[in-house]
Amino acid sequence: MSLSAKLQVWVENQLITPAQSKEILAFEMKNNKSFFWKAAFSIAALFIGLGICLIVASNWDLLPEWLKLAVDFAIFAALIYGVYWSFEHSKDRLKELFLLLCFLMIGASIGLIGQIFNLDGGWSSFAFAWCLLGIPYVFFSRAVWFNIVWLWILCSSAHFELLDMVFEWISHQFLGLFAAALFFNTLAYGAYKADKFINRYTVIALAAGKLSMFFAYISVIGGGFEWGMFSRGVPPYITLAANIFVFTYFGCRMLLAVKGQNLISFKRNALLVELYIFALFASAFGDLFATGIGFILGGVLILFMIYVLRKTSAYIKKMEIFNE
Amino acid sequence: MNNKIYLLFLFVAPLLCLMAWTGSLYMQRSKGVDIKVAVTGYDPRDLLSGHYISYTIDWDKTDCAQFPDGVCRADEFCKERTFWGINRQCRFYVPEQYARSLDTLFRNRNNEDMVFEVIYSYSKGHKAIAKQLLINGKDWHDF
Repeated sequence: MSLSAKLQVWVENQLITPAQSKEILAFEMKNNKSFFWKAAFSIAALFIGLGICLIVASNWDLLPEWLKLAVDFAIFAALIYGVYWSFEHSKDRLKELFLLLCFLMIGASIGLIGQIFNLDGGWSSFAFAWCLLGIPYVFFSRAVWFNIVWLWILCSSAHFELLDMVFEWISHQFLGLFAAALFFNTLAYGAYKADKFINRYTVIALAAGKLSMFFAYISVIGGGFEWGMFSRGVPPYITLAANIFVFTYFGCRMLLAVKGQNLISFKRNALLVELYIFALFASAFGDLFATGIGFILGGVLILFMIYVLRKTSAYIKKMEIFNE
Repeated sequence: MNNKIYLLFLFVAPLLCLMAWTGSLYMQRSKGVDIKVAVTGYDPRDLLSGHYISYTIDWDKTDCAQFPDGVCRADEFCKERTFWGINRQCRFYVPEQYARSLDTLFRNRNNEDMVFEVIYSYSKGHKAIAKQLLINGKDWHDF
């Protein structure tokens, strides 16, 4: 139900006066930081930034190299002024736009310099230099996704082949992916704790937390698929241990979500565990009839779990009232 | 007031770094001596920096007398230091509109009579910088 519809119901039921309803609406309109506008600004910045990168990449031969560099640096300087101006005038959306553009401009500039001087550097050097020089812009940005992208690029600079090797090795050990999941969860926990202290300055810790959680989920689900599925041909006790781990993990996550009244996290984990159960049944049953029975049983089990949770948890009810 | 200056300096610092880097590369390129090396191999790609030709230097066909001490310094060419070691891949960037025709020229194995060379700016102790791509002794633009 939308806010205006809710307000109308409250007025009709004499919970609030029409004047209060108007005041609430006015307040919400003033303070509502719509996702649409944020997304529109980010997409526009991305388009412009990528456009600059592509123009640089086309390596136009008509202009002498000094002019290309001069134009590049002049655009960069103008963008820096844009960042500074938006800071001075407290224009938050413009600030985010200019910060993102500055970051992309660094990538484009490194590319241009590499092109002019025929530098041999590969992605690792490029990504590392880009991230290093981009620190001031990322640090001041409040856009979590931008910080996540920065962290992702930084991680990728470590070395793709080495990361591949590590992942290969981990995924072939029974406890590898689950140990990785615990590691990423610890990392996320630390990052979220750090975020409480530094959030007013930067959202980098929050971004690190979200990225770590993403990898934790990948590790748990990856571990479940590698060792927990019945069709993989691993010894039954390993399958059992893997599934106990996966369900305990998701159970703990859901419990924490309920305790923290975090409905989004609760729903995410519930959906993932449902999908995992689906995959488990699909791997367990051979013929269509048995699979059908399995799915029905799985569906009934999930419905039962939801019913019990909704009936017993006052927290869930509270979350649904205040978060939906 | 001080905070504003710090903030501005923070934002300008990356630009200053890029300018300093460009300046140092420019100085290095203009101070070095020209060394002409024979090249083989091809692998034009399209990355953020645009199209480039990837090649290896054929030291057997390169005149080492061009070097100040008369010894070929292969170590100072196409060397990219990474965290995990040294990566050796030479690149020469070409504009997008010529990439396809140059690619065809490089790929055509029937062009046995063609000689591909790159002129480098070389200063001892520094990584050599590629300046010009030559095909049969002529700049690739004129070919």
